[in-house]
Amino acid sequence: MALLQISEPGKSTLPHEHRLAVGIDLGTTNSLVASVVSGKSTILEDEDNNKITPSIVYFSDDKNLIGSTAQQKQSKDPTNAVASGKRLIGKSLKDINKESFINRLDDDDGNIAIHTDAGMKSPVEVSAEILKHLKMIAEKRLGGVVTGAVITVPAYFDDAQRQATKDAATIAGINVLRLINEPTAAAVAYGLNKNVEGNFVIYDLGGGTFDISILRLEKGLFEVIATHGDSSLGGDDFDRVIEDWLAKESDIPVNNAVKKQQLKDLARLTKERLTKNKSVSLEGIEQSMDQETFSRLSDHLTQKTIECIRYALNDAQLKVSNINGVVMVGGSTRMPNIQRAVEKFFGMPLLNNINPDEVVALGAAEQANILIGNSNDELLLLDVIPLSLGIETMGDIVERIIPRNSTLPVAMAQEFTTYQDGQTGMVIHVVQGERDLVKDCRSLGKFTLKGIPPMVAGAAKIRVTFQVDTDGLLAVSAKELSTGIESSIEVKPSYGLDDTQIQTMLQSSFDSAEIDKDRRALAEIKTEGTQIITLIEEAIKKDGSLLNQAELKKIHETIDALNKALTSDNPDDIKELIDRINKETEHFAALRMDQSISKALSGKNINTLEL
Amino acid sequence: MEIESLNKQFRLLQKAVHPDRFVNATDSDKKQSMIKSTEINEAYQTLKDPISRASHIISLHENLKEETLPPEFLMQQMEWEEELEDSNDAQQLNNLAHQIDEEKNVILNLLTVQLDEKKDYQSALVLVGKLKFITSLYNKIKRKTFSMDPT
Repeated sequence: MALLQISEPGKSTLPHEHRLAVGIDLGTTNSLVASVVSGKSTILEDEDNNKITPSIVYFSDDKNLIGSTAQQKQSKDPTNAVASGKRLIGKSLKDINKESFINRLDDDDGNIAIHTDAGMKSPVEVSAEILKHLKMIAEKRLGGVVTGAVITVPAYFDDAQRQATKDAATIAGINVLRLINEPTAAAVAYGLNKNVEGNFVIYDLGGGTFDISILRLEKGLFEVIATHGDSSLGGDDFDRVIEDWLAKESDIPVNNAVKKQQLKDLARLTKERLTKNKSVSLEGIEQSMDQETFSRLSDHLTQKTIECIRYALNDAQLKVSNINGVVMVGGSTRMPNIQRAVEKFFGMPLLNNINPDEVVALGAAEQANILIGNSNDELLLLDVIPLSLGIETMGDIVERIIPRNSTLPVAMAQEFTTYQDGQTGMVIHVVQGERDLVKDCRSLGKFTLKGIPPMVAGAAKIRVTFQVDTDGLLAVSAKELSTGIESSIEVKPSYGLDDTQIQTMLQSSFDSAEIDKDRRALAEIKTEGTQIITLIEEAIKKDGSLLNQAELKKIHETIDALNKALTSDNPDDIKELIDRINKETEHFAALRMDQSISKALSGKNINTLEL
Repeated sequence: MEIESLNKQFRLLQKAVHPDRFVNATDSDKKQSMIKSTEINEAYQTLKDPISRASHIISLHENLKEETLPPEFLMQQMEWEEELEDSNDAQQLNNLAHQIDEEKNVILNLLTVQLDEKKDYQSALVLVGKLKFITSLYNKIKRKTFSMDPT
């Protein structure tokens, strides 16, 4: 098993050093990892020189297998191999079509649980295993510790799916620099940011998801203006068209998991061969399938994607004639019927010269390289929230609080009051989606507010703030306005994993015989402490003049205390001092941010800086 | 206000404070960056759209009476709504959209005068009320057009 590598305290990377950063395309069918090597974004190959890792995990009591080795096991023992885990992540049982999965699925307190001989597994654990494997590939190829990663998600992923993906990365021991949308990553890989301006459509048909994004590119700024898609439409569905046809035409009884898997494999192979051949004869049965039949049988799926393009264009208030280019992403865009349909819709040749399987990982690696500070590229990605956020009000009606396609980060505050005398708690049900009724939207969970000071009905004024960060993740905070009580109001989401659960999974994913959990935790907190001191000292050197003597003295004292604590082996002391120094420098951080704002706004800068 | 200069300032500001610029920073820097970046996005959204910008400027002035739309405008509203109801092809809908768009431009020009020259915020408030109705009607027409012909 791959171990999490931890740099020795004191040897942690300094701000200007070159650091290893990777881009990860965590796909439904295949996953890839890439990094900028000698200035060029490159896919990192595993020991057998494979660029692609099938997104399959084989669970056994002995050792989990990932990728092609898991795929080999899959055909013989499909119920213990989990494929297409991305279609399950961040979802509950009622959101999915159980029949399309070979694995036995169950409900685990709102989350999905997968039965394997090695016990119940969650989709988050499946993704974590794949991510861990990719990290290992990268560290072997790059010969060092990966400091951070950009992980891509479908633009259409909702909050729960994004959160679950991030949780998986945490469990895999990966520091997530940013979750970015797959189409945006593809646009970066095509270098659209370098020399073109205008509106671009990214058509991304993967194994299990479909995304359409419209981006506006202007002077080093990448603005996503609209996204649309279907998080359960992909190449798998095209396979199923062939599968159904095979089952019907061949009369082969499909009565067990192994037969079902064989049929699935044959269907995928047929589809792949149909991209190059007009007609394919099928082994084992007296049948052949031609492109035309396939195109006809799958036309409803193709049209579904075209429908999504129309909606996205409408959202962006653009016409086909306003589009300057169309980028094709995802292995499924190799299908000739798809290429024809999209080309016809836009009436222009498509951009498809970068391998559609690799383009997302390549773009993610470039973005990771910029974020970690290795590149002088001034590119800034401004992404949007893909689905509106709302809360449940009387009569199951959704009140929209953050409309879809708002530029991230975005926040909105809403005031609530109590309806009973002495009421000390309330529940806020947050949903995501575009429909007016609660039952038609995706429930993100119920947030429980506790500790509201008891007052007469309607007297309490509770201001609830919904903040969505640059990863598209929601955080809710609340404050009672008349008393100013903030800290005692506890906001707890009812979905996904809480921090304790993540910690438990994180710990159990390490073999305790190989590494001492406590020592690992200590090493981690020491690195964090050392880093924060370096960063604050740099900030003081640069902008210390913004503080008065007393403020400076206080910060220096805490730094000294932290330095002293770092020589001890008490993680609690170190943690406490890190928290304290973060609190104490909040005001300093605000002053510095204001300073950069006035600098940016000063007339001199606007005239002299090239945008 | 110049939309180009607004866009330019927005880009400059986001480049200075966006969380992507603070990936390797302390927690307090990250938090401040998110707060400022959020505020800049909000300000940009408010200023970009003439109606929300006018609403914001008006909201800075207190003691304004609640706006009441003049009766002749209410009559006009009803006529437009009926016309929308009766329109059944793209051509009719486009004509109506065009007509409303022209009305919108007339009111926008009036609004500029009230806000920038006369500083009459009470009258501006009425104009904003009209514009809000017109915008929502315009969107309704567009939705109907889209549902009939999604190209």
